[in-house]
This record gives sequence, C-alpha cells and structure tokens, in this order.
Amino acid sequence: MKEPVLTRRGFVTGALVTAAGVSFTLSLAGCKDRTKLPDDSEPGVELLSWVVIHRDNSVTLRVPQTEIGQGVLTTIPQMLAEELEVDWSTLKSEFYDPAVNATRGNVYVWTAVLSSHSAQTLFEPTQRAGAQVRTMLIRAAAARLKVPEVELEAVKGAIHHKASGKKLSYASVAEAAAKMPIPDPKTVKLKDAADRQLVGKAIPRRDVDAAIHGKITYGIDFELPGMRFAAARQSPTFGGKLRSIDKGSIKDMPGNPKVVEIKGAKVGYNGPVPEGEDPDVWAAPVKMDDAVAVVADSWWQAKTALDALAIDWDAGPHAKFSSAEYLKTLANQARSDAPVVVEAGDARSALANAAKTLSAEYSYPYMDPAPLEPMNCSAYVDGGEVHIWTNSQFPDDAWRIAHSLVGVSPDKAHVHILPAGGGFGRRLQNDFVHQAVQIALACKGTPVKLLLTREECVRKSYYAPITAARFEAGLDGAGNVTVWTCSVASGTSAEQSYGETRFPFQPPNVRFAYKRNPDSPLPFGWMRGVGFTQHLWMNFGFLDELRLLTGRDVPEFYRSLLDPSYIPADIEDRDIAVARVKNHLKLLDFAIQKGRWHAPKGRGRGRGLAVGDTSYYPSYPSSTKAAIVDVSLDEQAGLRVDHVFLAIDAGTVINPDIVHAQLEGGIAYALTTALHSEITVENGQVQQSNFHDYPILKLDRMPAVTIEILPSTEPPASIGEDAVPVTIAALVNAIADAGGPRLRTLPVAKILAS
Amino acid sequence: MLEIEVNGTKHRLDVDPAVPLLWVLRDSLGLKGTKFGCGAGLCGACTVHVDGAAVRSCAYSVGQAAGSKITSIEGLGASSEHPVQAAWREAGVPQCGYCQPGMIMAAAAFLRNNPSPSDEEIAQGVTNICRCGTYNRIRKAIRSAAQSGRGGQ
Repeated sequence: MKEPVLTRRGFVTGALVTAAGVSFTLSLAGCKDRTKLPDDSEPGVELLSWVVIHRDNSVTLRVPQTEIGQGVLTTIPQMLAEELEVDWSTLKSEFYDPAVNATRGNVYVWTAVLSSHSAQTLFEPTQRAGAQVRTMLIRAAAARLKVPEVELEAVKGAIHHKASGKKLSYASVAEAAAKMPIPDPKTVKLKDAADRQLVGKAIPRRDVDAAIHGKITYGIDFELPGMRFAAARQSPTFGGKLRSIDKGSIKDMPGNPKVVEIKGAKVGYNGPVPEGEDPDVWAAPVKMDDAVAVVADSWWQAKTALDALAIDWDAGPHAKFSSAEYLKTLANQARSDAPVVVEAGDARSALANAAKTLSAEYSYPYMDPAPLEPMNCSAYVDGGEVHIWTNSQFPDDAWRIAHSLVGVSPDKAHVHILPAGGGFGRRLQNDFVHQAVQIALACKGTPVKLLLTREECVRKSYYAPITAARFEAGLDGAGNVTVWTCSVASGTSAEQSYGETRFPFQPPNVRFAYKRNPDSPLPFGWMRGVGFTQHLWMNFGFLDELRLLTGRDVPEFYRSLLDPSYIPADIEDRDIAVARVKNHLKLLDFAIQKGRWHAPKGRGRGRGLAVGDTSYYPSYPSSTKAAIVDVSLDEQAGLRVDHVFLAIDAGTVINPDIVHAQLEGGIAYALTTALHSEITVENGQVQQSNFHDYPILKLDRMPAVTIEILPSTEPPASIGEDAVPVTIAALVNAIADAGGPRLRTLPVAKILAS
Repeated sequence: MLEIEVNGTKHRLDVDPAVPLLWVLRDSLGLKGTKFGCGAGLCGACTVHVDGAAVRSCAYSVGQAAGSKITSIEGLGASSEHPVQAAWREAGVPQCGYCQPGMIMAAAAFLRNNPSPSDEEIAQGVTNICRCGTYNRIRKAIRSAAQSGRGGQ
C-alpha cells in the first residue's frame, strides 16, 4: 500500500490552522517549545500561562475550554482582558494546552466543558491572572523608567507615566516582566464592578465573522498533507465482541482501504474527579465496544468500504436487550427495591394519616445529545510522539488517553484543541479520541482523521439514562401537602439522585429512594441539563397533579411549599437551604409579574410555570430560573408552543447577548428533548439512526421567546444548561392546562399521536 | 472526467460520479465551509447552490452536478459580503456556527425566490436543523435581509 510521505515542511504548513480568533502553532515532532505563538515570525513572551505578549505588541490569551458554541472564545478573553488593559480589537486567543495544565498543577483551574462551569469557576482566576500580569508589566516599567509604580498606569497595551508623558509598550517590558516576582493573586487589586469595561458588556462574539463565512476550522475540517481518512463502526450491540472480518471483501475497492481492528476498552471517566472522591459517583466510566475501522485515501472511500466489509460480531450478553422491557424492570425497582437516600420527618405515618393520597409513575427514555458535527478526531503517531486534534469537551483526558495508549511519556503527547459543532455533553466521552489513537497506532507515520457517520453517532452514543420514578404524596383536609415521596430507578452508572432529592418544594415529611444500575447495557452520557432534565418535569408534573386535587392556584400552591420553616432545624448548611428556597420564591414572584402569568388565555390554550436551579448539593453555586410556557392544543393542528418566558438570576453576567443566546438555545433544546427525543433498543440494537427517526426541532416550531436577566453583583453562576429543565417542566404542565393529557413519559409528540 | 464549475472556477475531476457533491467540495476541492451533519439530506448543513437552487449536497451526487454552476459558502458574497451574511452578523446568529454556512445558503436561495416572505413562509421555507437552537435569530436575520431589499441578491 502506498503511504504518502509526510514532509517536515508540509507538516508545518498544514498545521498552521487559524480558526475564528483561534490560532496555534503545531510544535514539530521533537520541538520542545510550544509557547511560540501564533506564528514563528512573531515570537512572544509567556506570562503566567495565560497571556503571551508578542513583539508587535499584540496579545494572545489562553482559553482553557473548548469552544462548543457556548461562547468561551469571547467570554473568557472578556474576563482576562478586563484586568490586563489591552486593546480588545487586536486581541488573539488560543485554546490551552492540556499538557501545560497537567504539568503546572491545573493552572487553568477548570478545563472540562461540563456543568455550565466556565464563568463561575474562571471568573476570579482569570481576572486575578490579568491583574497579576498587569502588575508585573507595571513593575518592569517602573524599574526601566526609575519611577514609583504608583505613578504608572496600564492603558490599552502600554504603560503610561503621566508626569513625564513617557509610554512603554507591553512588548518592550514583557521580557523583564516575566522575570519579576509573581504577585500574590489574593492581594492584587481588582476593579470595582462599576468600572468594568468588558465584563457585563454585550460584545459581539469574536468568531461571528468566521462562522458566517464558513471559515471556522472545526475538528472535522482539520487536515494535513498526506492524511488518510477513517470510518469506524462499533459492535451494533452493547458489549458485543468482534469475531472476525473478511478483509478480502474490500481489497479491490478504491482508495487503498486498510482494515484496523479497534479494541473495546474502558476509555476513562467522563469528567474530572476531585482527589480522594469516588469516581463512580462524580463521573461515569466511558465504556467503548470493539470496533472496526477502514482507513482510505478519502473518507468517502473509507465509509464505502466499511459499508461493504463483512464483519462477524459476537452479539454478547445484551443481544436480547429491550429498552421497553428494561423500563418495566426499572419501574419494579422504583416500586420496591430502591434504597432510601434522604428522609425527613415521618413519611410513613404522614401518608397513613393523610386525608387524601395520590401516587403516580413517571418515566424518561434514553436520549442521545446529538450535536450536529459528527464525532471525529485526527491523530498522528510517529517517532515516539503522538499528536491529536480534537474538539473533545474533556481535553485533559484526551491527553491522558493519547500518551497512555501510545505508551510514551506525557511530554510526548500533544493535544491541539479545535472548535466543535456543538457538544451538549456528548464530547465529554472521549471514545472517538481512543479510537483515533488506536487507528493512528496502526498507521504510524501517517496522520489519520477518524470521522463517524450520523448513524454510528446515534447508534453508539452515550445516552441520557432511561429512568422510572414512582411518586406518592399526601394532603391534609385543607389541601396542604403534608408528605412527599419519590422513588427512582435509573439505568445509569452515574449518581443522579439529586434530580429528585434536590427538588426544594418539600413539605416537612419527605422520603426519597434511589437505585442506579451501573451494569446497565447502554453507556451513560452527559446531556444538557443532566439529572435535572430527567427529573424536574416529573417533579412538577406530579406536583401539578396534587394541586389539581386541591383546586388551589398554581403560584399560591407553589409558595405554600417553598416555606423555609419546613427545612429541618438540625441539617447541615441550613442557611444555604433557606437562601435557596428564598431564591426560588424570588424567581417565582418575578416570573408571575413579568411573565404575564395572569394574562387571559383563550380556549385550547394552556400555561405552565416552573422554577428551578441546578444545585447538585447544598454548597453548589447555581443560578435560579423560572419559565412560563404557553401552548395551544387543537384537534386539527395539534400542539403548538406559542411562547416561552424565561427569567434567570445567574449572578454577574459576563456577556448578556451570549447569555440570551444560550437561554434561547436551551429552550429549543428543551423542546426537542420533550417533544421528540427517544432512543429505543430492541434485540440489543438502537432502533433510531438519523434525524428522520430522531428528529430535532426546526424553525417552524420555534416559539417566541422572552428572556429576563435579573441584575446581580453576585459571582457568575451557570447558564448553558439552565433553560432546559425548567422549560420542559413548564411545558408538560401547560399541555395539561390546555386540556391535553397528563404527560408521565416523553416524548410528547409520540404520546399526542397515539 | 467530469466538469463542474464551483464559485466561478471550472474544475475537471477524475472522480466516481456517485460520490456525493459534499465530499467532492470538501475533500477534492478543499472547500470545508460546507458541512457534514447527517449524510441523508435531513439537516441541511451541506446546503449549496446548484444553478441557483438550494441543494443538500450530501445527498446529491457529483454526477448530477456535472455541467452545473455551484456556489458554496466560500463563493457567496466572495467579492463583497452577501446581505444575508451581513444580516446574520447584525443579529448575532451563530452559536457553535456549524449549521450556519448551510443555513445561510438556504436562506439566500429562499430569499432569491421570495424576496419579501411572511414569517410563515420563512418557517416553511427554511427547514435546516440548528441544534444550538438559533432559530429566532435566524428568523430575525432573514426578515432583516428581506427588509433591506437586498436579500434576494
């Protein structure tokens, strides 16, 4: 087989990829210095891992997150540049290097694109890093000009000395600044909120021009001279094994097809695990089955040959697995087997003494997050080094996978981050990285790009878990809720009991039971809103069922349960729990007033209201939000979502326009999730394959949206996932309010059609 | 040998006519702005213009395109920015941006046929998938391009 020769020169040229405001230099195999940025003609001085100042006085900022559409290429530079005092219009940015993060003690603080964390975890560290660098530059200038530091001011990339009118560019003092002692991050002075020039401003995204001209280089677009292309297919059943391949079946096909066997593996975990914590509680193991790849001169040739390849699979232990049958097992577990995880008061006697009791069973299907850019990864292994080009949401682990799989020392593994066409949690599982590196190991000396088809992405994804819940609650004679219980069984290897236990609408007597099934055949995956997306709508659905028994008004009924006096006196962090209930009340009141809760609605119209946060545990800083959804339900026209109102208190907002966009997008994601998304499995295989049977909301069904951001000076909280759970919760109650069915499972479109 | 004209340049290609136009654009001609999303003509990320009409190039063979004039995102407004692109920037449409080249190509072809559409016509006429859910900004941008009177360029 002819392998194209990868020349040194070709390698460099091909690798100088510039995406929207992103640039990086590929260090050649053997080249130690990765800090030369972004172009060899413009070497720079690195300051504190975050900032590079170039000779031409341009500045590159490091972005320690993959851009998946959440806007970090704009928001993180906004935070860093706020204190650095540089000219926004000339800034450059580049993605961080996971190897640097690992060898410098997690200097970038939070690098996984997980839990809508970028603003809340990086707000302080980026501003402090900006202030530290500015201080070092001023100190170097003070030494040069022989004047006291206090007489100097940093403005737009230069240090000014007002008294003498002297001015030094950052570039002219950068080398001296790099040798200055590093100021204590805790004591550097940060601006008052009122003086901020960038944080809080609706600055246009830095990548918008590249996006609208098709010039962003996503993972799928990366290419090197001499590259070969791979398509791959995992065992169609979960836990299946490769038995044999008839390689002869494709040997005469075009593109010099080469077959590579990919070994199934536990790839790692799908999120960072704090030191000393149980990884199986904080994250889920990323299981990947045996696969077969075909590598060819073009991807179409590889895909065509893979389609023609005769592969014999051992279907494995889950050959007969049926999601419909499994849901029955989970429902039984929820009824009888789930262990109690949280209890307060005495739920048993409260239920026995209740004037009225109500029980109901709810469920949630498997779902695939389905970002639009199919999974892909480029890899190159040669001369004891490995390079990967990926838009993983978890690049630190991609780096670990690369060096451990190739068996080289960590400094020989180089991860180059590229923007992603969406993520929504799917790219936290680095199966595609593991596959690409395995393929590159079989094609040493040749760069290879792995790209999976949509069908492969749907059938072998990492799924939001199928879940069954059984609620039982009791009312006293006056229609007050006296007891609330919920028992959940979930086909997940991750711990997601917070979805039920952290519902703050709690009377004095509660009992929560939860059973997870770590050996569930389908691998667990994060999906936007995670456990809150699975559970919040169930909680609100059952709450609404209870309310209808009482005939009480929605807001008044909600308020009756958001009662701080119900919070047990002896619990840890009681003050946090009280504040949380008060935040819910605040958003409830705000939404009722601004979201026109009491506005008249016509026949066949329904309105639903939900309030929530994503507080996984008491000290977890979460935004609080409320949604009001208006729907029309008509026998002829079916369901129409007319309007979604969403209010959020997310603390300090870095970029209000990006927050609006994320919330609008979150509403669309919620509607797809609720109306359409369902993965089913029969005979061990996923039955859906593409957007015809796994549909995504389109423009014709996108409702009008109103977003309200509450002003706040608190630290930033989550945004990206936040619209999803509350929108679904308000939607299901709106449908019931419009005279539609009480939805106890999803997707809605399927239920309304039946 | 097969001849196609892409963004004003004629290409003679030695390629299997059954290969989808998408992969010829991306891999033979290096025009990576046209995206792969589904491979089945369902999402529209691969939308290009073939003789002025919006076509989902993942489900359209290069053989079908032979002799045609093709415009990809790289050729739309190549000399000066297309009004649809300007409207997209103004409305701040993109999030991840991945669907937007196809969305913009779909919107440009739609407006050429219907320069002043109603919202209902926009909803029925632009059927691409945006997984980030930028639809309301897309609608706003299409209205704005239409109102500028230049959207149909």
